[in-house]
Amino acid sequence: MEETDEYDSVQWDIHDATTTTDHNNPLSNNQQADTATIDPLSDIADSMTTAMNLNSTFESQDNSATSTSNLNNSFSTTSYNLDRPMYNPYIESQLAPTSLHNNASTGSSRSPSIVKDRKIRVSDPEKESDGHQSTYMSYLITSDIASVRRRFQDFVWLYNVLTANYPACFVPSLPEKHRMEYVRGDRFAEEFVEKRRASLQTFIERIGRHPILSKAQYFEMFLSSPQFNDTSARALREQQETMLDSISDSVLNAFSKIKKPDERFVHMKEQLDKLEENLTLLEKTLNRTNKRQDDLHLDYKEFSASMQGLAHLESGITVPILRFAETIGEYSKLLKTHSDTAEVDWASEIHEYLAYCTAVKIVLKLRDQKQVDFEELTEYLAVTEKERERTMYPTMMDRGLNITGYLTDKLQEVRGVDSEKMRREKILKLDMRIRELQEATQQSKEVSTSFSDQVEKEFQYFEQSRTVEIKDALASYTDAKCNFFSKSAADWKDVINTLEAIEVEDD
Amino acid sequence: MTDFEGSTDFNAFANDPDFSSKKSTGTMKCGCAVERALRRQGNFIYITGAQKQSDGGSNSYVAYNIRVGDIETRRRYSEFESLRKSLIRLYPTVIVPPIPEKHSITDYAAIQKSVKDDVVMIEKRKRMLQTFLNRTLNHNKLGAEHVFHRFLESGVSWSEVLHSPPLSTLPKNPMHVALTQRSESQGGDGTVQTTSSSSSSLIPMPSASHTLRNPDSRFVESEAFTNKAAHHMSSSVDKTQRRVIRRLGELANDYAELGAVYNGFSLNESGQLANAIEKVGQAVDSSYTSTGQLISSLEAEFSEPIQEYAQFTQTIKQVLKHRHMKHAQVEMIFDSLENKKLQLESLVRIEAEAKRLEEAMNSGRQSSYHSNSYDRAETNHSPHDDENNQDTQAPSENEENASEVGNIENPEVDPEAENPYASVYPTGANAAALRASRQRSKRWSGPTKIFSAVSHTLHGIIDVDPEATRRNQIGKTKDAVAQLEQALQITRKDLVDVSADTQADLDRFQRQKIRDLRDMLIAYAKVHVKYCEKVWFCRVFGHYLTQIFNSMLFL
Repeated sequence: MEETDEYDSVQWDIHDATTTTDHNNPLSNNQQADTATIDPLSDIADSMTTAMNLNSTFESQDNSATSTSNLNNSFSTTSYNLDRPMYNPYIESQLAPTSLHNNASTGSSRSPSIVKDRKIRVSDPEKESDGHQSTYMSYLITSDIASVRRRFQDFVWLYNVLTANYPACFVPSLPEKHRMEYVRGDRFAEEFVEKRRASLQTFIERIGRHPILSKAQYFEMFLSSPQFNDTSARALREQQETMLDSISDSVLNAFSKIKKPDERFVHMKEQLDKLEENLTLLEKTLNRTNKRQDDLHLDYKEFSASMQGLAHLESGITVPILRFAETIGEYSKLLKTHSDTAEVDWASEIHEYLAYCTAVKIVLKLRDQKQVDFEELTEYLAVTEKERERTMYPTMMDRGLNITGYLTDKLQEVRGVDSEKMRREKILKLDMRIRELQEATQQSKEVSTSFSDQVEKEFQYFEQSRTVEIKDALASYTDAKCNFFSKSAADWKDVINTLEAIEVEDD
Repeated sequence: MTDFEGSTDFNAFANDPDFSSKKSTGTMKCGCAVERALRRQGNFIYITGAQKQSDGGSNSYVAYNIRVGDIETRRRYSEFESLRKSLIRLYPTVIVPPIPEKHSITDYAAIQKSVKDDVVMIEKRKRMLQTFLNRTLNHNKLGAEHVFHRFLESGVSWSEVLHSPPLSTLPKNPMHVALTQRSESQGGDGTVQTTSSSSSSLIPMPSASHTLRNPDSRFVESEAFTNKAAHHMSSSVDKTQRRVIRRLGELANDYAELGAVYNGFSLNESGQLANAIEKVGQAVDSSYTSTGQLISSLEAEFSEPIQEYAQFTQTIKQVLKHRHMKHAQVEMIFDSLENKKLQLESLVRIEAEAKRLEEAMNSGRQSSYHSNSYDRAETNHSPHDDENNQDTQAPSENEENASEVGNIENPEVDPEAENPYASVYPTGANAAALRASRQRSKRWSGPTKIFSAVSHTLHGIIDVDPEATRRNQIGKTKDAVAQLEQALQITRKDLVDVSADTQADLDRFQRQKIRDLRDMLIAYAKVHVKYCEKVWFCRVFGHYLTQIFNSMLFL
């Protein structure tokens, strides 16, 4: 209880702080005007974010963010924004404009922070039919801006557009598809649905906590657009998705090894590996312990049945023994419920965190790729420049060393080609290529640098997010454990009273 | 029953007259040093320790220190076992408390591997032996038994106790006990041995498999209940509770591992998260410890008493069996008495027949001869008190030879008898005697067979004088009938006593059981309460986490 109070006051403090900063920020004002009509409370989260980010993300105005606020939750507006110029693999960084350019340009010294709890909830799974062939589950998404129903496919879409458009961001992974459930046909089973709901909740929370992704127009659209599932909108979305496929393909084309490993990311990778290792071990051990607890609950259940039998044999004290047997049975049930909820929740939390790690690793690989691109271009530029040098100032040294070049020259002399003219043409050509390459190198350097910078920030978000997530999970886990044990202790104490009431005669 | 002994004391086996008299006065004590010490020490016996000792050779054993007040003595397991057996012999109607079971050879093999297991095993034995001593002490009869007090006395050699009265004079077979005691109290000092031996050759010894003609419904019920309870205790309650404990042990190991994983995890994190994970790791570590404590508490306070009760049911079965055999003995004595009576009747009839025949033969010569049934004069049932001196003197002669004749006769009859009970009769002489009488009763059952039977019987006797032999027979049978009648009277009365004693102890046991069950279940619940309250040290730990999590809000 105290905790909540404190937390509330924190929110208000931040809110106050925000209102002062916001005056310099037309974007924020704009946004506040939008949200004010919905719910005065809902902008708390937004303003909190603003307060946290202060100069970094928000002060700089980028297209994406502006469009988000201008969208006013309308799908039709959003869709035009998706029309992009020809795709260029080297400047794909444009796809994550929020992150790359802003941060690079502002050069903020303050470290950004994750968004505080936006209180987005995934709830009320419902079976729906699309009219003709198939039924599906839909979930109610309640956020600070709206309340809509979305189905799993929509989450997939959100994931796809986010990964494609924010390649440098750690987009959380979606829950697994659980093919077996589809085969067995029990994907509408309560347990499965609840599991999936919880996973989707985690997914949405992770996006909501992310300072960039949570502001993405796609996310806003997902959270609020009423026309989201109209036929035309759907077609458009499908188009987006197919287009995105080709992007990701081209992104993962090269496989060259990185030349100058960046200390920062090597370290990051190591940390991630260690984390994965720890989580995997923890998951394994937890699952084993859970299995054992499950067995224990069965053992207690059998013991309870056995005591019931005893109760009927001991006719004098049947009732109290039955109460005792009942208590064991109750304890067994509590144990079962506890491991089915708290223990399983905690274990799946870890499982999902592992999936998140995998997603992060993919982004790290992508960053490596950016560096490789830059390194290769630089190398190519160096080679080209060298060639130009050599063409301009051919020396015996070069010829002596370069037998091929010498032979070519000789051959051309024999053919009677005007070598001087050729040389000049070649130099011109090389000059042109060098200019191109310089441009490309510069661009790829920018991309690589800003990508790296972003990844570095992302990793900070990731760490912060981990603290919050594990904290939340551990808090509810320990809460559940304490509840379970105190409830059990109370039950046992209860039965002691019953047993002590048994009248005994002394000999 | 009421004419012979005190109304409260049904103990028919106390050979120690001193002891009996003390008991009947109601003070129920022998007044020895141990008993006085027990009185002073609030009636509790402690086993204070156990040491491995060597008996000089290569064998070593564990001696347990027993303490009553300032009296301390050492006894080894085999002596406890012997004490228990002695108590059972002295008090066959009492449900003597069990001692921990002997280890099987495989147990020994396993135990020798690990010293730790050995310690655990000795601790367990210490607990259970202490329970045994105190249960014995708190029993109204066993607790006052001097043999028990001597067990607790320091400087007393147990084998000496075993070889002195009352244990040394106790008949080997409990079925003799009552008869021996009666003869002793009725006859003179010198006759004890002869009476008991002659009666035991005549008194049938029952077997446990004997089916009672008129079973006592109370004990039939008791037996059925005991069997059911025993089965449920061992095959259900004990099995399931053991499984719970075993699983808890496995779970404790899992916790140990899990705690280590958390701790390893926390080392790779930093700041508050590291702290929080470490705390969870510590909580899991403490789960390991408290689960271990839960296990050992359950073992001592629930598992062992349950096993003890499984053993108790075995003892109850023994006590019921004892009563059953007493009952069977009464029925069998009754049967053989009936047989003997029939036999006697036949003999008398034959004698009368013979007399008539002789008379007829005489009357053929002398034409005036009275038939009489002088036989009946002997049994005192005959209305005719006859004048035949020759015949009336015969029994007194025969009486001396009775057992000898029986012994001579037996080898002859033995081979042709195919008696199904042969193997279960405790003594060969008894069995043979009984068999012989049965053979005879069969043959005499039909009047047409009488002569062949008689002639068959006579074949075995060297004496060619049929009349003398017959008279011998009659005398011997009359004697047996008298003995059996006496035995029947004694055993019937004894059965009443035994039944009452058994019932009383069963009732006492039932009360004790309810008390113990109640305590066990309370212990079970309390141990769990302690576990639940301790396992995650909820309050302290929860508080700590809340602090950490609160501070985390300001990232």
